[in-house]
Amino acid sequence: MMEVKVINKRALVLVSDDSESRRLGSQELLQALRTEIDRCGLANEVDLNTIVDVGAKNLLPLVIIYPEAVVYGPVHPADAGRIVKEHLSQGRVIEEMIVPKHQLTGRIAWLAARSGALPAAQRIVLERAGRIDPESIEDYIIYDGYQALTKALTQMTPAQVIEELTISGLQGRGGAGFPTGKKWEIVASTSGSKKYVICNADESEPGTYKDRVILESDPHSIVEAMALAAYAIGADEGFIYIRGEYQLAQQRFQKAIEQAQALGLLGEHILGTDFSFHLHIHSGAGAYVCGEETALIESIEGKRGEPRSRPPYPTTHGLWGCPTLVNNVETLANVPPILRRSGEWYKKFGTPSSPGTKVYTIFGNVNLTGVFEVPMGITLREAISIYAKGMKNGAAFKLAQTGGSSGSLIPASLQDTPLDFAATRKAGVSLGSGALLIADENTCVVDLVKVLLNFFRFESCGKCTPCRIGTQRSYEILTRITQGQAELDALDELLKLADQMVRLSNCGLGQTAAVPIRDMLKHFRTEVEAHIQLGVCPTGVCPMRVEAPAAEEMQPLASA
Amino acid sequence: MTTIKSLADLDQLRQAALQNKQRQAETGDAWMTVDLSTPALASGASRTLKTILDYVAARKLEHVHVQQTANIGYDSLEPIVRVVIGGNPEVTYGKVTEAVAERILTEHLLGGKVVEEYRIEQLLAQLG
Repeated sequence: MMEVKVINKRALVLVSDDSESRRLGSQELLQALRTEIDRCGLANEVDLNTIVDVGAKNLLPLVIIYPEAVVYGPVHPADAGRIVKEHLSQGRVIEEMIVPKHQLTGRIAWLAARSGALPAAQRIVLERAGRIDPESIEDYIIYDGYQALTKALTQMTPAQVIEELTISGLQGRGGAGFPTGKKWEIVASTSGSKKYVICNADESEPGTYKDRVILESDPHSIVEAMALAAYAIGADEGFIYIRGEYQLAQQRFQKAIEQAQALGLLGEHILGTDFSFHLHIHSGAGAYVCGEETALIESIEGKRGEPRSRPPYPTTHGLWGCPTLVNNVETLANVPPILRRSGEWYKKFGTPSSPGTKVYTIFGNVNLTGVFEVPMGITLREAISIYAKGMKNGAAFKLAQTGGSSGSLIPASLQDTPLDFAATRKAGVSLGSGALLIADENTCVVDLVKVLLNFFRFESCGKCTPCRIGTQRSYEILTRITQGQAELDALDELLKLADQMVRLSNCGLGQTAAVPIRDMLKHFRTEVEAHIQLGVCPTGVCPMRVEAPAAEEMQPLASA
Repeated sequence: MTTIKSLADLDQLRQAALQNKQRQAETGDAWMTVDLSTPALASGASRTLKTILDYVAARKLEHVHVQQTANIGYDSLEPIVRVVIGGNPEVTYGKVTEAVAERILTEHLLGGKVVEEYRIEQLLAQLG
């Protein structure tokens, strides 16, 4: 048998190491912890690292242990043995050493506020993923499938369904984080004889594929959730807009619809009640902008996928002018478990401001790429260290981009910020759809943003000028920077463009296309200036000279 | 198939399906579950599936059942195959190429010996 060295990091220990902590003995503590970890033979299982800027001056030095996110403090070198033996070795949290939550401040307080058992152990959305045959309705029913729908239709009024969702505090998982219960309530309270439910599965954000995973591994959960949504808001027809590239997801969803109809869980008089619901699949045709809800609605109507002016919002004037509920796949996947158990149960997971779990897709310069579901509020450092099994080739972490191309760039200095809607907003970044692109020190930020803008100028639908021209011009400026042809005032030009794109674009595409530019100049300005003033790319990625004839590079979209 | 009218109907269906599963487990047969999601197919799961089906058909292994499931999250370790023999605990394999699939069939399913180096735990450990 092959001899394998077992290096499976399962825990991460952070020791505060600012000047105040050092004065109080954090260096000795670090040394003691390292010795103890080695002595117990845990060196291959535990990652030991330092953290600065933790606040809480009277509690230093602090020790934070993931994945439980337990905060101990003040910890003396003499306590190291006990922490390693009891917590890391035996897995017992040492209650009397835990810092009382009210004494913590800032991001560490957010961290301690998160609840839920061991992150990876608790799956809600992906509970059945990989455990059932996605093309078998019996498998779905064995794992509590269609119980929420049956319960709602036989025992609950539509208002009660919405109330349960409001209690749960579920927020839209498509990126914006709008409270789902509130959205349902608005559509339910809008008068109209015909209403629609739409599931947005046009997941075109590069790197995000959580919706595909849900649709491929558990299509019935979305069928059930859409029927529940229709019941709650009073709709009798629904569309799921699946992007054209997701052939497998479309096939499986079609099969799921047919199976549900055969059992009387879709169609006329569901469960013998007056409630009827018909579900259709609409295949996208590969336009990024159709992930925007009004462009998606236009596309279903058979028009060009161009966003509408808002207001009026789809909640009042949506598909064919009727009140329409548009929800993301992951949002809907959370609905059946909430109604099967209760809103109070759901609130136990995640952070107080963003309850529940989140599905992340992680990729880039990490050892393990893939999908994982954890309670809201994990930190980037934790995601990389524990779920992605560390950086590839031991390189240093430089930046992450959350939520696909339109997401924020998160520099290494923010990697201890808990990822939930409120905390990330406070730190000036957005959580987005849950894609985590991890880049190491060999990535040039200008090159990265150039690639992103190339994508946006291609995908801009061209309806409004700021987006159509703004993405193109930003791309050109960035190209000049990578060729060593730009002057310093090009950066002011970029910021001006970014500002105009945010303020004047018609929809989210143009507005968020500017986000990476702004973040680049906010967090990595020195690196960009090095390109311009020193004429070098610090990572050696950019050519720093004009490679192809410049005229060819600058040609408009048609030839790109 | 009859239609469902109430929670009781649903529960009845569920119990029947559960009993069916139970009966299958008691026979001592073997189940091979192949992950057939997009990342798996991209890494060659369809070839793995074909190898398994061919192997089972060629040797007329009637006690081996092949099923499909989808993504468990370890995309870079696809194709993933799970093996359950009778009431034994489930073994998950990663990076199951055609050659590995043959080894699993020969050594684990017929020989009763787990192919340790392709267990998902081992593959995860090697990632560091």
